[in-house]
Amino acid sequence: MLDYLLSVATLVTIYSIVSLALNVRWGWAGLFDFFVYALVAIGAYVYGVVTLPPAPSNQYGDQYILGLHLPFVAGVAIAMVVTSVISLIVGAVALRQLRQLYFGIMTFSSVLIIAVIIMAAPWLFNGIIGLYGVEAPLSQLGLDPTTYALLFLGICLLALTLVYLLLERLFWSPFGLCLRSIRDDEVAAAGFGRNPYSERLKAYVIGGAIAGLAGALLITYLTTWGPGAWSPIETILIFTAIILGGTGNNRGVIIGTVVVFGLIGEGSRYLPILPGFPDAYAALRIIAIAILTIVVLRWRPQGLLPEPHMRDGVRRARRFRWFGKEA
Amino acid sequence: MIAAATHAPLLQVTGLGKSFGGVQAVVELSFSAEEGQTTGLIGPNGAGKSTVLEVVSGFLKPNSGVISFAGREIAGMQAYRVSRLGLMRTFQLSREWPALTVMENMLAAAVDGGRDKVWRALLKRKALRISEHADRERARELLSSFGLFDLRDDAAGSLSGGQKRLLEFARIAIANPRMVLLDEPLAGVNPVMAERVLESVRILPARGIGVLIVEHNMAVIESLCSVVIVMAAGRKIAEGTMAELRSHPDVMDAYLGNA
Repeated sequence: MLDYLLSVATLVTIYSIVSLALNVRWGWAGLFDFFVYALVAIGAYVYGVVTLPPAPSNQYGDQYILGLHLPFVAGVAIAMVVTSVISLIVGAVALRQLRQLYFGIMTFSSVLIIAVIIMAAPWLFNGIIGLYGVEAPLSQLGLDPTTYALLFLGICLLALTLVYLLLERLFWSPFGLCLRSIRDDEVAAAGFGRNPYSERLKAYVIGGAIAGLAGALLITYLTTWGPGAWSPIETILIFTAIILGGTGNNRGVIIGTVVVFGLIGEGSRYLPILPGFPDAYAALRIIAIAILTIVVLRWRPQGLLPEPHMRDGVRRARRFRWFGKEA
Repeated sequence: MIAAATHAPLLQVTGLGKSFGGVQAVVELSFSAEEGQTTGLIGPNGAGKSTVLEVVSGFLKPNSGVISFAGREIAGMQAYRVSRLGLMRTFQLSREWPALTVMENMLAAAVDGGRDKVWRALLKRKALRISEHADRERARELLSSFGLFDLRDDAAGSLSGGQKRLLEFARIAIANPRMVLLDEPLAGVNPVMAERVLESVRILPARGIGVLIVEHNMAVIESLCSVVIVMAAGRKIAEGTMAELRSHPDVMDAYLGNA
């Protein structure tokens, strides 16, 4: 049971990092981005090929590039650099002209293109089989599995905390305010000397680096990564977590992730099995998450914790309402 | 004459042309606007007044012509660069940042010499806090004078049309440009609020800010402007004080038709 809870906590922690990455793009910069999950996948793949030893020549015909056998920290750093660079390239093209749904379509298509490339070019990341046998960092300590799981959860929580603190600094800085002004009205922001293109691109790259970090942690935890491990659907779940928790609010986004991936995602496993419908709950889970999204969007669009603001006056007693607009 | 040779106007537009497909919106337009003065730009609907503002402020690219601002050539320059040089504008419809509070609108408008860089957010927190404090002080003063002080923590999107207009002027004031282009500042503002908006337009030249204003209300133009430029069908047809223009035959034609 403890092992199971540790496993859920670790996954929710890693997904929280993904949500924070998407929140920079969607919550702060208003970019309807689907590419974030491809970056998680690329981060995972890059971490894999950087930390794995060179591809062995075995009967399965495994092959992948690099195989540098570098340590954990180097793998994470390289994964983040690569996802930043790819974000820069995709963002530089997509942010030129496209907005909102068109931007969404372009980034969604880019995910599919990346997926096809990875499958069609097995020499890159071992194609449809994917990478496996990724070494756990600090395994030389010889800890028993439960203690090790606790240690790895600690590493993930440390990463989440660092990302959270970094993003809080950015949110409350002139840069964060500038991004939110561009999100609200880019024409007016340009009228006040802001370059919407380059500021959005910065947000896009920051989100990309954080997604790469999450990808590296994810493959380290799973020890394997292949085309079956990721799909654009995951991005929709991340969006749900952000909308539920509070778009733009770093803390809210983490809470949303805990609810969507932890409570709903894992909690539904404990319902009694319906005779004759073995996979009913997998489907019901998706339906529940979809209904939750609609309910939140209709009655509490700002989410559980709304985007915070730099209040200036003495905090006035505000009538707090769970539904509808704040008084 | 010697004085005229050394003193170039702050904004000088020469031979400006802009067409949309086959429609020539602005044709061979030349005019200038001075620092600390209010220049009016009037003309019947479709004369190309708003297009002139769009082109001068960098939101549209001209097809031809030279625009110099403070001695720099700005024709075809991107809007955000023009704004950084100190030439700003307001819009026909107020463009506040609706999800941000009124105070945040002010802070975001405060033009900061590169203060919004990412590395500063991470490494220069103390300096940023000091400058934000100064901006807040300035913003509070301005919001008081514009009558928006009590609303400073409200979302800008929840303001009334007139209040949004006032916020637009307050944002311009905190950004402190050298010249501002006003596109129908009284559009959609009720008569009581209009007086207040006008007051905030009058303050600008007193602060040394040049104003170029497009407005349909002639009484307003007369009370504000020292020089008025009249456009019709994309061309300048007259220039002078309102009194001179009233007796100008071309101006009468443009407004009343020459039937």
